[in-house]
Amino acid sequence: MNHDSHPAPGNFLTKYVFSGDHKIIGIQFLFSGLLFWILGGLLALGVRLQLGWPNQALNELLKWFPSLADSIPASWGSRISPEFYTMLFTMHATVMIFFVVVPWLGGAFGNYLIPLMIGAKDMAFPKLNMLSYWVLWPAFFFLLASFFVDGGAAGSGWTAYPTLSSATQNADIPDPGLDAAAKATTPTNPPSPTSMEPGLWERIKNRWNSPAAGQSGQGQVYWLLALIFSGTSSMMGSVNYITTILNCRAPGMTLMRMPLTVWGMFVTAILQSLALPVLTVALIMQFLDRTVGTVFFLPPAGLAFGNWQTGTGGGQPLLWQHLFWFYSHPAVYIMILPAMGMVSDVLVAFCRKPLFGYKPMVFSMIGIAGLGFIVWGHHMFQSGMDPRLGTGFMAATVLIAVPSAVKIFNWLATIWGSRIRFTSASLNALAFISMFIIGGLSGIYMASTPVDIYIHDTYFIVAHIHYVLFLSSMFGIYAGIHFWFPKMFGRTMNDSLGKVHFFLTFLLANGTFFPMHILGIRGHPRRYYDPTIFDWLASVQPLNQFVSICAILLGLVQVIFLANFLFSIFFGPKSGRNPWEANTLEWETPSPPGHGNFETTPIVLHGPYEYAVTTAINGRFSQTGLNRDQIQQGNHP
Amino acid sequence: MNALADYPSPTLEVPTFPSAKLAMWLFLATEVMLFSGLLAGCYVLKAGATGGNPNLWPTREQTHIQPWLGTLNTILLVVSSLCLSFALNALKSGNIKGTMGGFGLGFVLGSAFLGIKAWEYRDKFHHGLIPGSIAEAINNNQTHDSKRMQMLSSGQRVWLDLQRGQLEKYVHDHPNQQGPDMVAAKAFLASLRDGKKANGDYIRPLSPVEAAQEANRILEKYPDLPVYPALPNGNLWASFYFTLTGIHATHLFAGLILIAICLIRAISGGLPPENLDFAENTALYWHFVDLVWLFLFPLIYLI
Amino acid sequence: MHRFWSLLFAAVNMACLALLVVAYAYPGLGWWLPDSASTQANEIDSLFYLITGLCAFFFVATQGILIYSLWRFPSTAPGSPSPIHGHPGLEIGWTIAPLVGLLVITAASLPVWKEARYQGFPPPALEGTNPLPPEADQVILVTARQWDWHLKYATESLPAEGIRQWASVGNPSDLIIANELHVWKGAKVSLLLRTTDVIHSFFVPALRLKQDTLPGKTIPMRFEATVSNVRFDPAEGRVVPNETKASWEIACAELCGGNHFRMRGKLFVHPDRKSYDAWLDHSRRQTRSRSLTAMLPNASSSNQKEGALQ
Repeated sequence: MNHDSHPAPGNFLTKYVFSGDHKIIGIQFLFSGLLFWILGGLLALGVRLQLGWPNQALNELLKWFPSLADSIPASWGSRISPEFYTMLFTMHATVMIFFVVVPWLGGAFGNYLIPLMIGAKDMAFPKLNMLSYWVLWPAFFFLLASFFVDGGAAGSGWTAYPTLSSATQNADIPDPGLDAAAKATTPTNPPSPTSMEPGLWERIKNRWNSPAAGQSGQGQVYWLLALIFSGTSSMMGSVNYITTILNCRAPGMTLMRMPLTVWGMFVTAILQSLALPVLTVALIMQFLDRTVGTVFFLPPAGLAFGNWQTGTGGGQPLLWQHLFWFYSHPAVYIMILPAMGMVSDVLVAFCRKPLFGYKPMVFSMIGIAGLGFIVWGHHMFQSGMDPRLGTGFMAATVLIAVPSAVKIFNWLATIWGSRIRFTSASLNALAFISMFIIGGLSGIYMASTPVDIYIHDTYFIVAHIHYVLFLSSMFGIYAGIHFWFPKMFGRTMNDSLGKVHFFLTFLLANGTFFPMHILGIRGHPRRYYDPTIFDWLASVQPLNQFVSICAILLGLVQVIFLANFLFSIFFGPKSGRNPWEANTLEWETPSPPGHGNFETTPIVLHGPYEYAVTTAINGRFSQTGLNRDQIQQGNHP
Repeated sequence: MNALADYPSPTLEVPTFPSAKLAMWLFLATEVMLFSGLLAGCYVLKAGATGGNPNLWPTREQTHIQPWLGTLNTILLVVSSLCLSFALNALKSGNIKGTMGGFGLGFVLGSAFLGIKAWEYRDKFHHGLIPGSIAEAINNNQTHDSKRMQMLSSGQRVWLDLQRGQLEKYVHDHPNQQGPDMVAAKAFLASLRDGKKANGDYIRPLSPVEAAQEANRILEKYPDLPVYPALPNGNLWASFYFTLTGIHATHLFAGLILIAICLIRAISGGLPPENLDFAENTALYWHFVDLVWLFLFPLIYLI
Repeated sequence: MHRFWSLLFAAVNMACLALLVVAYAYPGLGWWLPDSASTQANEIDSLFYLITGLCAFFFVATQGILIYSLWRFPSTAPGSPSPIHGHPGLEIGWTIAPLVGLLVITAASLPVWKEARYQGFPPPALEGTNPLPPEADQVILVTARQWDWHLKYATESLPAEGIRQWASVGNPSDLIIANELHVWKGAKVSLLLRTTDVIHSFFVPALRLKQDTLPGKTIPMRFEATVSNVRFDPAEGRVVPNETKASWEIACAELCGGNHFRMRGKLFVHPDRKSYDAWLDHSRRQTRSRSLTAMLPNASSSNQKEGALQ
C-alpha cells in the first residue's frame, strides 16, 4: 500500500490512540503488555504463596492486608480454596503467554522494529495494523471479565483439556432422579403446551448456565472468547509482517542482509499464520461444545460426574490435544524466535564483532520453525496416544534440538574474541544465552519418551518452560527494552538501575526456577494445591518454600525495572540517534523517529553486523555504508 | 514531514507482487489451515466413531439431507464465481455496466445460497436434528456393552424431553384430528409419561432405549409425525454438519459484504480500472469460499 | 567490573550444578529420584543418568566458554576484535556433535519405550476385542473419577476373551476398593485404565509409571514390581510394612479439577502371591460384610469416604 492513503496524523486521537503508525502501535502493545505482565506476575505470586505455605498462606496474607478479609468467601475457611488455586495458575499461564510474551515480542517489538530495520516508512497495511491492536481489546475485556463471572475465571489449565474444560450437563430441563438432593430442591414444572419446546437461544442460555466440570463454568467460555480474539489479532499481525518484510524493504535490503530480529519476526509470522488457524478451529469447537451442545470432545457414551451426567457424545477428547498442541508447540517458538533474533542484535552491538555464522543462524531459525510443525506430539506421550506415534514424535523432537544447539554455539563463537561492553542490555542478552542452555538441555529429558513417562507433568516441566519463557524470553525482552528504549522514547534508561535489576533478577529467577528441577526429579506433580499430603513429597517442602521466597522477591525486584522504565520515559538522559553505535537501519533515524521513519530512503549496501571491519570510529560501519550519526552530530546533540 | 514526498518510495524498485494481493494469498493460506484443521478433525472423529462401519453413521434419509439442494447450491456458487470473473474482466476493459451486472448477479446468487442453507437449517431443526439432543442408544447389536448402553441411554434424557414436548404441542395443536397417525402419536406420548390408562391400568414409561426404538418404528410408518429419530452417532453428525456449513456460511456472508462494497463502488464510480486490488481480492476470496464448498459438498451431501 | 559479571555467571551456574550434585549425593535429603521398585523404573533411571551425563558435559563446556569469554574479552582488553564472519568447518562440527549425542539418547530410549508401551496397543475402546496383554499374572481395572481411584481386582482367573466383559460388568466375587494398589513382587501386572469423567493420570513414582486415563477409552499398562514393601499379616488382618519401611504412593498427574491433588493412593507390593491372595481373600470377606451394612439407609456415602481416606 502506498503512503498516499496514510497521511501524517493530525490530532491527538489519530496520533496516539487510533494511530496507524507502527511505532505508536508497537508502544501500545508494549504498555498493554506491561499491565498484563503485572497481573500475570501477581497471579503467579498467589500460586507460590499457596505452595510455599499450603495451609497458612491466607492467614499470613491477612496479617499484612487485613482489609482483604471482607472479600474472602466464608466457604474457603482459612485457606485459599483449591478451585481458586486452579484459577490462579490457569490465568497466570494464559495471561503470560497470550497477553504478555506474544504481544510483547510479536506486537511491540515486531511492530516497532520491522519497518525501521528494513528501511520502510511503515507497515504495508497501517489500518490492518491498527485493527490488530484494537482487536485485542475484546480479548482484554473477556479475560478480565472472566474473573467476575459466576464460578470465577477458567480453572482447567492453560491447556484447557476436555473434558474438564468442556463437559456440561446436557440438560435443558433439570435432570430427574440422578441425585435425590437435587431433586428435592428443583421444582418439577408440569408440562404446559405453550412452553414445550425451548427456543434455540433458550437452549444456549441453559447450557451456558448448566453445571460444568469444576472450575470451567462460564469463565471457560470467556477464556475461549478471549483467546479467539487474541488469535485474530496475531493473525492480522502476521499477515502484515510477512507482507511488509517481503514487499517493503529498502533498496538493497536483500533477505540475507536483514538483521536477525527481522528474520526472527518473519519466521515467527509464518509459524503463526499457519499454526494459529488450527488453534482457532479447536477453540471454536470447544466453544460450540460449551454453548450449543456439539460433541466434538465428548466421548461416545458421555460422562458421569458425581450427581450429574453429560449427554450422549461421539467425539474424542484427545482431538483437542492434537489441535491445541499443533498450535501451542509452535507457540513455544513464537515466544522464543523473536527473542533469539533480538538477542543476536543486542549481543553483536555490544560485542563489536560480526555475528558468527549469519547464514547458519538464519537456517537454524527456519529449521526450528519447520520442525516445529511436526513435534507437537511430544506433549502427548502419556496422553493415551498410540505409542508408535510417540516414537515418531521423539525422533522429530530430538532433531529440533540440533538447530537450537547450533544457535548457542554461534553465539558463543560471536562472544569469543570480541570486546564486550557490559551494559544492562548486553548483560540481559548474555543471560539469555546462559539460561537458554539450561532450558534447552532440560528439554532433552522430555524428548526421551521413557524418561518423559516419569518427568511428564511434574515440576521438571514447569522448570523447563520457565527457563525457556522467563529466563530466556523475558531476559531477551529486558535486553530489547533496554536496547531500543532510546529509539522508542528518545531517552536512555538508567544503566546502574538496570544492572541492579539484572543482578537481582538473574539471581532470584534462578533461585525460583532451578530448584523446580529438583522438585520434578523427586516427582512433584504440577498444578498441585497442597503437595504436603503426600509422604514422598514432604522432603521437598523446604525447597518449595525457598522457591516461594525467591519468587516473591523476584516479583518485588521487578518494581525496579518498572520504575526505571517509567521514570526514564520522562526524565532519562536524551540519547541521540545512535547511543549504542550500532549498525542497523533503525539507528539512522532520529530518536524517536518521526512519521515515515526515514528522512531519506536508506540504500543498503551490506549486511547488518559489519563491526570491526573498518577503521571507522569504534568499529561501526552502518548498513548504508555511512556513519551518519557522526556526520549529523551537530544537528542532534 | 512534507519533505517525505520528495523521496522515492521505500519499497524495492520492482515489487515482486502487489502487497494487497500478497496479503490476500497469505490470508487464504491461513484459511486453508483453518479448514484443513476442521476437516481433518472431523475425518478423524468420524473414523473413530464408526470404526469403519458405515452402519454406525446416519444415512441421508435419516438426516434429511437432500443432495439436489446441495447440487443446486454448488451450481449457484460456481456460477457466482463465474459472474465475479466476468465482472473483473469487464472492469479491466472499462465496461462498467458489465461490472455492475457481474457483481450484482454474484451477490444475488450468493444470497440465494445462504437462503437455501437457512431453509435447510430450519428443516434440520424441524426434524429434531440438533447437536447434543439426538438419541443414540438403540439396541441394534452394534452396541452390546451394557455399561456403555446405560451411559448412552442416560444421555438421552434431553431427547426424551424434547420428544415429549414436541408431541404435546402436536396433540394440542391438532385437537380434531383422529387418524391412525394421531392415535400412534398419542399412544407414544402416553408411553413417554407415566400415568394411567383409561381403564385405570398403570402404564410403565418406556426406557430411553425402548423409546428411541419406538420412535424409529413410528417414523417408518408415519414419517410426517413430529417424532425425532434415534441415530447412532447422530450428535456427532449434527456437530459436523452445523459447524462445517456454519463456518462456511460465515465466510460466505463476509464475501457477500465484500461483493456489496464492490457493487456500491462500481455504481458510484469508485472502482478505477487501474486499481483492481480490491475487486481482485474480493473475487479471489470468493473463489476460495467456493473452493471450500467444493470440498464440503461431497463430504456432506454425497458420502 | 567485567570480572564481577563473569563471576556472577559462574556463581549462578555453579550453584545450579551444585544443587543437583547435592541432591544426588545426599539421598537422605529426599531431593532425588524416589525409590525405584519396578523393572521399568530401573531402565528409566539408567536413561535419566545417561541424559544427565551428556547434558552435564554440554552444560559445563558451553557455560565454561561463556564465562571464560566474559572474563577474557571485555571492551577494556587490549587490541580490537577480528572481523570473523564464520567458519564452515566449525559449523559442521557443532551440528554433528549434538546430533550424535541426541541419536545416542534416542537409540537408548527406543527399546525402553517399546517395552513400556507397545504391548496391547492400539488401546481398544470399550467394545474393543482383547485389551489383555499376554502372560499377565494379574489384571486390575483402574477407574478414575473426581477424585479417587477405584481398583477392581479379579478374584478368579480370567480367560483372555472374557476381559472385555469383565471390564464392563465384572464378576460378583470381584473386589473393588478405592486408592489401594496391591500386587506381588515379580507379578506381571496388567492395568486397564479408564475414567468416568475427566482426564486423570495414573502416576506411581516408585514404579516410574504414568499414563493418562482418557474418557471413552480403556488403556492397558503393564509393570513388574521388583521390590516388596509390605506383607499381609493374617493375625492382625491387615498389611504391615516389611523391613524396607517404604511407603509408596499413587498420585494424579493430570489436572482434573480443584481436588486434583487429593487423588492419593497407595501401592502395596506383597513379597509373594501367597501374601497377596491372603490379603485379597480377607478384603473380599470384609467388603462383603461392609456392603451389607452399606445397604442400610445413608450408609453408602460415608462408607465410600472411609475407603477414600485410607
